[in-house]
Amino acid sequence: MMTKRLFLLIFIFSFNASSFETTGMVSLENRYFKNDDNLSTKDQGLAVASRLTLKSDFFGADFTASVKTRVDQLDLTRNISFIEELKLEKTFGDEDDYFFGLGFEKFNWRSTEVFSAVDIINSRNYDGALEDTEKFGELSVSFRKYFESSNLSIFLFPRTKENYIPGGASRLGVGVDIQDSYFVNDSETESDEKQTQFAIKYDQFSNWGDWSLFFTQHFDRQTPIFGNRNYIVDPTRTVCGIEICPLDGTFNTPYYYEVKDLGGYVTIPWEKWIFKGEFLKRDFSEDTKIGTFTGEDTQKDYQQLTTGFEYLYSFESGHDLRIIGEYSRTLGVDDAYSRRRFIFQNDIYLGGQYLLNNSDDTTVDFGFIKDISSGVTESIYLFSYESRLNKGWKINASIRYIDAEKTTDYPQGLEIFEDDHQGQLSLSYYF
Amino acid sequence: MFKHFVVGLSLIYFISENSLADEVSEAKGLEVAKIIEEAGKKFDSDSSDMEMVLVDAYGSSVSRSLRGETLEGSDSNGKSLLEFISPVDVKGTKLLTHSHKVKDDEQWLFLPSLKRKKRISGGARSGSFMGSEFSFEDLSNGSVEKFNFDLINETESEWTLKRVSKKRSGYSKQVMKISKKYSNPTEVEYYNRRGDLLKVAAFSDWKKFIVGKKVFFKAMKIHMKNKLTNKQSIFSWSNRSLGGKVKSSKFNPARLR
Repeated sequence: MMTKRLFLLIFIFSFNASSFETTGMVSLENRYFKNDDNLSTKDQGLAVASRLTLKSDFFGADFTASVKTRVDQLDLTRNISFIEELKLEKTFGDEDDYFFGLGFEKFNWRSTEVFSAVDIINSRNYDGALEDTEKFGELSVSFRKYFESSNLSIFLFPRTKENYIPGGASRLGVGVDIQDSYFVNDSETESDEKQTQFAIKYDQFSNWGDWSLFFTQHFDRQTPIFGNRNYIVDPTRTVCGIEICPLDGTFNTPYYYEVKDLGGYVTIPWEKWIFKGEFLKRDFSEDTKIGTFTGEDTQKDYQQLTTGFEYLYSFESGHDLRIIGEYSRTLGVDDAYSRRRFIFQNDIYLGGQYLLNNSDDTTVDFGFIKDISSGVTESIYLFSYESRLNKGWKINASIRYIDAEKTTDYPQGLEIFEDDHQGQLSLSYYF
Repeated sequence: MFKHFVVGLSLIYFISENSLADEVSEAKGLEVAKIIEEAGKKFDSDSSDMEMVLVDAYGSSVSRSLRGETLEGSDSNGKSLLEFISPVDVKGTKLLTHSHKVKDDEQWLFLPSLKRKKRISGGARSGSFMGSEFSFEDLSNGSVEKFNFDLINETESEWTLKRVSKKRSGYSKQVMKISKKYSNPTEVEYYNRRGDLLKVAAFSDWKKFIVGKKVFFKAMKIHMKNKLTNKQSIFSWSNRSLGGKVKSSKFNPARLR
């Protein structure tokens, strides 16, 4: 329905457009997981993914529309079509000092590469790389004032959107099909996506480095609680065999809580180094309890910190090696809470990007993520190769090995993806 | 004893004579560099379409196109914005550089597919530019304050100048042949840190521009040959204009989108 509306809008716009620019990508994606001897899950995917982007001038404003679609022949649960961007943007004032934007927008508030505490605005498609998920466009009205080397932005998000969380057939899902989401705020628990959110953000660009500071009141899409708000507590475990008995027998509804976030991020270049930091302080508006497999659960206020560095080493052969190190830590809550809520709680990433700097832009990425908490053995090993085959074609091959063993009946943290090792081969054509 | 005294005196004379000659060639080198720098000033702005052809050691080639704008700043500080037009997978990527007389340049990369504005290290200058034989260092502001100069040779039509970066660099030295007519280099030899000849850049297709009452000559083509890998990169300009009106707001990192 949304896609039809989008194309209708583009059709209308095309009559008023003085110039039209179309770019896009079609990709053949083949992914394999290690066989889990479970007939109900899909160990292989063969998909055609596409992104179509239109840019145009519309009565002096910039119009952009970008839609991404994926159709999988082997795993139909992966079929998806979503808007990345659909927006009108206009600068005005004598020096173009003011900016107004309206429509679906993709935000990228971050300074780090792998972990991010502050990249929190858009809803996402979790059927993909854990450290690099696809983002859905967020409906927003934005107003910005540019200064000499800074800007102040105000955003209104008239409605929110749920994440796409893969169902029971997916190796990247939570094991069961997901029901419609609920958005929990201080009035009541709502299933409606028409929930208003807002943000204010200041960005400063200085000679010594760049920094941003923001405040937002919105619905947390990063750490929903999966459970059921209608339940009875049965300490005797006689009703349903566990302490929490959902009235409809399911624990598969994601609950997104309203939260006030104060955050910031900084990037400091120094000779061949770049140092980065991100900080987020979360203050949840509600503590509505949700019944889950492991007991009653609710959101608690916490802080997240991410730091990192990049170092570029250039070889005389013309090749470059970009070394990347990052550390992510959740503060203010105990380890048990962190493990329930996050895939990465106290983790380091160490890796590199080797650039051959040839005409094909061949790049090899490698690295690992490791939980450094004592008594926890959770790691992801990553390797990917990307190269241009000719003017329009690109090939990408990647391997992801997950080292995490279930320690309880209800896996938490990276344990959810135990043995979900993955290999992917993509052939993409850009036009 | 007297013999030793004479030898010692001769040695002192020889050293002082050489060091005096060194000082003279350094002073002349600096003088020429200042002439060149002065000749390049007051162009106000530079806008052009650019094509870069990358040729590998086996002769196969690919091309990349860019759109570039430069705004002259005060006191050798300049700002430039490069937008990548092709290959299509990187179309819309922008590189904004604020170059400085002495300190490291400030650089930002805008990645349209991620909607991300990324600060990159202006100090990592020896890295390749877009997979070419040009490094960021080759394309950055070569203000006089960043180098030590030596005049190696002078003829009726050209100076030969050696320059050595005062800061860390991918090169041990650069030897430049500078045309007196164009007040610009016509050839630059780049020597790696071991002192071997690494690359040679040849500047050609000179075009005359007039901004106000000042005349500028600009090379419309640079052919860079890597002597160690046999790879080549050819950078050429088209639709180039100097002195046109360019909005300074374009070079504000806050506005990169």
